[in-house]
Amino acid sequence: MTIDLGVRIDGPEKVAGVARYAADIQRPGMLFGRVLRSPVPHARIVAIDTEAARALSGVHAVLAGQDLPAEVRVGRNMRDMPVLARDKVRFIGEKVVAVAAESLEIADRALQLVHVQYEDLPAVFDPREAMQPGAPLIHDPATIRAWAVREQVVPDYPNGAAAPVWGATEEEVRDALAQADFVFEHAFRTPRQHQLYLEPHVCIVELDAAGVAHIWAANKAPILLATYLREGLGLERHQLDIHMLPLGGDFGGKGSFMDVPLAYFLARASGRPVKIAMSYIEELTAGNPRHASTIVVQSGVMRDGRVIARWLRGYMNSGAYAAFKPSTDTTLPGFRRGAIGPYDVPVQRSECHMIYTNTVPGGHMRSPGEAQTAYALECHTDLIARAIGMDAIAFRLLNGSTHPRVSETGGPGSPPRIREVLELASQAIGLDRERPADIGRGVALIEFNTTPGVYSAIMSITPDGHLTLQTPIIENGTGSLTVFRQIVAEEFNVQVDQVSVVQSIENIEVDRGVGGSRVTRMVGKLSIALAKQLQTRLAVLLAEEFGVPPAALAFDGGRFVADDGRSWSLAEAASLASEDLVENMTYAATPNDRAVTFMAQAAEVHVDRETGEVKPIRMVSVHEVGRIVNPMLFRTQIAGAVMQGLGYALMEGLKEEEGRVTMPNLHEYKIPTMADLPELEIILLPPDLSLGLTPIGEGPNAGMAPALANAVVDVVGPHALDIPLEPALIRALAAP
Amino acid sequence: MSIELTVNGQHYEVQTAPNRTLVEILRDDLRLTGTKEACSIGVCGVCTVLLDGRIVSSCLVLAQMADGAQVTTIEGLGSEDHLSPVQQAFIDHGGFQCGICTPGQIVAATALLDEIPSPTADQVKEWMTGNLCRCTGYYTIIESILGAADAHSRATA
Repeated sequence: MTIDLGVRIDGPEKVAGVARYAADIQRPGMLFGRVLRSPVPHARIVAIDTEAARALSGVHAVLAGQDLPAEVRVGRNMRDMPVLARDKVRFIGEKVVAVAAESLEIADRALQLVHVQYEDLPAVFDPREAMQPGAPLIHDPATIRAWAVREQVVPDYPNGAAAPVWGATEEEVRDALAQADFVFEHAFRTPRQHQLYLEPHVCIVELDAAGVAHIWAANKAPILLATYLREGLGLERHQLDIHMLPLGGDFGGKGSFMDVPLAYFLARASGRPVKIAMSYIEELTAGNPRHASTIVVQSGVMRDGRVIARWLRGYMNSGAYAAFKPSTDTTLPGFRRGAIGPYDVPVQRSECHMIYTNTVPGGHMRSPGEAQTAYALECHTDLIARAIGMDAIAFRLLNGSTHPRVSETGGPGSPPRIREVLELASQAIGLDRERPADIGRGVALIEFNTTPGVYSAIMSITPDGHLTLQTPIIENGTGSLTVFRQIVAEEFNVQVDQVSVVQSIENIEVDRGVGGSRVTRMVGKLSIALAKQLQTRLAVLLAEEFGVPPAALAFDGGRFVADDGRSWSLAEAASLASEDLVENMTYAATPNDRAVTFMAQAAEVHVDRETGEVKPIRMVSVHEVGRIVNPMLFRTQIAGAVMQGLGYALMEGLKEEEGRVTMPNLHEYKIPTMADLPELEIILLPPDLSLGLTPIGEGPNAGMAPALANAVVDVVGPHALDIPLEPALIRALAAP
Repeated sequence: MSIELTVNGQHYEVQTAPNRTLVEILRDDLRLTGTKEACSIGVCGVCTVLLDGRIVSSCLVLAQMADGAQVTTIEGLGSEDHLSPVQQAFIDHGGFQCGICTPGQIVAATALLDEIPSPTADQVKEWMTGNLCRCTGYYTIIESILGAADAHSRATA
């Protein structure tokens, strides 16, 4: 029997153009919401005149901050963001006035009739300036502390949102650095990067007579969205009906609630359904991009190449609010992992300074925190190797982590395969091969860990043997639903057409949603556990019916087999039930559920010494893997992530001047196209099943940027390079 | 103003303001939402349709320019039950992930294969450069298009 388990559930509807995304939803009587955004980075709102806008025919609601309850603030974790600016604006692009009208044209005309009077305040745009004494205060320090969540460490310096520190004390790390033969220090700047999903944020909110808000949104985690709305707006769960729609790209940015709270208030004020769709200009100028950073890293190194101490300080530009960050300490979940990297350094200290500025609030983008720190650490690592005259691979191997992992059951797991991934990457890219002077090659080593999360699912079987997995997971494009169906089909040894995957939040209270490359691993584990429970219940039915002790029944090869040789099919067992058998499970990940995998990435580039242009020629991505459910989807995750890493290194810096984004459209902000496509070789190590279901979404976009930068250093010489690599700088460095 | 256009073989008469674009008419008036809109300035390619057989970004086509035109959208190439060879190839080769750029990719690829039935990988890259994709890294899109070309040449050989 051939089972084509891997065929995508959502294939036909997506290639035929009939899949319905949030932007495709229209509701009867629906109005269109538009917002007036602040043109100034920091100002007191003196007066807002909306009278003419309200009088315009076709306008059904006009709202300013004063029209909303004063206590309403929203946030994924730290609720520091007003739905509409109140008293003050804190960044260019902040929402000030919102209109709901019968057409977009009327809404836009209404906004032109609104007059807002601002009184400018001193503004600050650079996090390291914002933290200096005397810097303009963006929020009242007392309110920051009042808003702070439990795990958040609020620093004492101005505009500090959070500043967690891990590892050694300052004194300990200073002492350890003093023991080293050499101390190397480099600073790297990394840019804002936009997720560039090709579906801009959009949402529709419709309130029914019973006060239930029906929500269609380009949002990736419905249970979390419900939580944000409950906490932020004071709604009850039964008042929230969140529809499950496919996402047109996510990459972290669709975890934010974006305009849903505003659409709710517009719907309430107008009594009509309201749709708010962001234009791409709004996305680029007021979305929730990856945080820009400055990473300063110091390492104490012995003559033999051992790193004995490391102090890494990250200065992350939070933007004007922290509301889009879901991590419990209000920083970025990958920061610490990326700061430590795949290395064993005896004394190390990592500091993550998250600082408010008068710029666009940052959110999550694929490998949040890790993309920034891994870039700095892997470039720093190469620069040290060059400075002490050591081979880049040998230096990494000398300092690489050797501790065995912990297995999923808590026992000793397999050792890190750093040598294998590095050597394969090195050979595949030809790190030791001769090269012309304008060709460079570089490598980077990444340790990727998943963070824990809570997941829920419901599995049922009908009396005629059809299986259904109900999940609150949104299909953000990675093929999760297909993978879940495959896992269930494999557990029961049935064809995929005997398995349905239903997306719904009904009867599900907690679920962390898509993110952190956790879903295959965690929902996979949950699905396997639910399958076992259903199989146990079916075995009990068989035992009762046929007088076999349940313990004497095993589920094997799709059949229940008794130790006396009798056996029953799944359908025969299910038919003994008079109704559907349903199993419901919530699973909170333990530290042992954390996946730890190592990967090495390498790049070959051509540097044009006259123009400074860097052209990627070849890329290699080498991965440790455990169980892979769907090889085609797995490899495509790697390829997509690698290209985002390429964009991060070479072109994607969302530039701004004095708080104003100067790349407000896709002519200016460029992402890789097919024309930029280098060769890509993906190498997977033989599966190590002790790793379980291995995550893949995020890791491979963290290593490609430093691999490319290290390849450029190979041509232009040892410099700490900021990204994106600016041709003018490369030209200056490469000049003969 | 009033315009007449034929979309996927069906004739329509549409009342519209002259500054509205073809993508708005398709999506909002005709409810053909397979055509998507993202950048609105003709860069990303997600709104790609055929206008009198030529590839266009429908976000750049004003209502008047569509008057009297023959338009082909993703809905005109095949249906869920009867996929076109290019649509099938995008499934077989994993040429999509989230699917938002996919209608535009498939319309552009279909036009390519009409023009060059057996393109090289470089010809695919050149033709498809105006269609952005953030999920796949493009490699499987190229494989899909080359796969569709292969399937076609096998079928006609």
